[in-house]
Amino acid sequence: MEKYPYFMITFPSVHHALRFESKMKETGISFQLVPVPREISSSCGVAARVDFVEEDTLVDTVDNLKLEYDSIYIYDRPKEKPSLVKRWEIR
Amino acid sequence: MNLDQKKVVIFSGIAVGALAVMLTVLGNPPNQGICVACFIRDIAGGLGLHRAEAVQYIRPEVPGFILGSFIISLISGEFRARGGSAPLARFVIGFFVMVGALTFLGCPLRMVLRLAAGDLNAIPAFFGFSLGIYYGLFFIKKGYSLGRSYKIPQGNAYLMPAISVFLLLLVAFSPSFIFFSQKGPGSMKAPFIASLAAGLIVGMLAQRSRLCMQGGIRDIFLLRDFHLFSGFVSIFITALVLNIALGKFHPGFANQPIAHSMHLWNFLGMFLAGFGSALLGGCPLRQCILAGEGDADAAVAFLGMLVGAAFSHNFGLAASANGVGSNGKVAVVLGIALLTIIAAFNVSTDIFQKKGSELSNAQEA
Repeated sequence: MEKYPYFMITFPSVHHALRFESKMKETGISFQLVPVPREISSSCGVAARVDFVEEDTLVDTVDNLKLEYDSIYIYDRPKEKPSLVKRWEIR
Repeated sequence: MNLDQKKVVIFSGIAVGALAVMLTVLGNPPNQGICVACFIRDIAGGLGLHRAEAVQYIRPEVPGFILGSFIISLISGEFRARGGSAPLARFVIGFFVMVGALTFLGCPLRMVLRLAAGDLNAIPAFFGFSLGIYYGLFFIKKGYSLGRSYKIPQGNAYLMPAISVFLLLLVAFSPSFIFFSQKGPGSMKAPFIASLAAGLIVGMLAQRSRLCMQGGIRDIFLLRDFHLFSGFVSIFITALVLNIALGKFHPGFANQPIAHSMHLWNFLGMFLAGFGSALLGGCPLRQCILAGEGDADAAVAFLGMLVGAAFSHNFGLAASANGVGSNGKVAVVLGIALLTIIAAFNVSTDIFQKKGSELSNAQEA
């Protein structure tokens, strides 16, 4: 069953999702690639569902691995809209 | 995957399947109630970009898809201008997706509709399409990407809907400089209002459900997930049931409407279309939907398909009921080779330098 809260990360392309998969495997943070949920808009069809860790830990890990994403959302509880944690900023 | 989401995609599939059969009853060409590739080709003809007299009609369905997606994304807040992800590469890929689709005589959606009407020629096409996606995924896994798109000024997002309205006005007022087929598939059409309404509904549903023929198969290969593919299946089942009920189900290879039985070329044509769709990240229908949402890159892919359709007929590449000509065969093989080169050139170098970058990370640490 789905355990709340969890994160959902969207990506600019499928390649970026696969890159996320290959790099994040080594971090010990558990996640799964899934189709993007309907309530989130995204340019690519694949997202990563990440089991809950501290928000900063996730963001720092992703940043340190230089992984590109679109947005990071958090799902707090069932039947509630996810809230945006962070959007990718152009640097 | 929640149940609600599953319902939306299955319901969309049912609606698309039903509307497609309904449009053939109302006058659209047989097994071609909805075909994004054929309709874009007809639009190219209606605009006079090619002079194949049998396939000229500015089909209201296609601007309908775009405007349906535009309207619903405005309401849902997903309408935003974005672009800058390798537009020219997308144009060229869109071009060859169309060349491939017109070799088979149908987009992935019509492939499903043809299957549902008993046209077994669509079976090799289905395998070709799936294998083409698999081939595209090979490059995606190696690091192929056209790069991310960026937010662009919001005004850009209104261009494609505006072009769509312009196309509708052209059909509605029929000025003397546009073309209407007097015979052939281009002359077979549902009433304007029915076509437009069906297009709008399909556009809205496809936007909400993200229905995509390419995405469905990609997700099976990549995620072992059947969510999007269930939309594909529900289109098939709905159209199959309706075709049987209406006496439009004729299983076999021979004498299928607007089809040929050159299996190798049905296979390779859809291989090219599947490969290109995987590189674009969506089938021709999905490109229309994204274009309606404000994705300028998808709009460029759409224009690539429009130009590809024009070239297909001007250069004699497109197939007909008589089969695929030698020009068409050369174009398909060339297309597969060219897209392979494009895919290889867009494999990002940071994957090749994976070991090196990990080294430099370690050094930084």
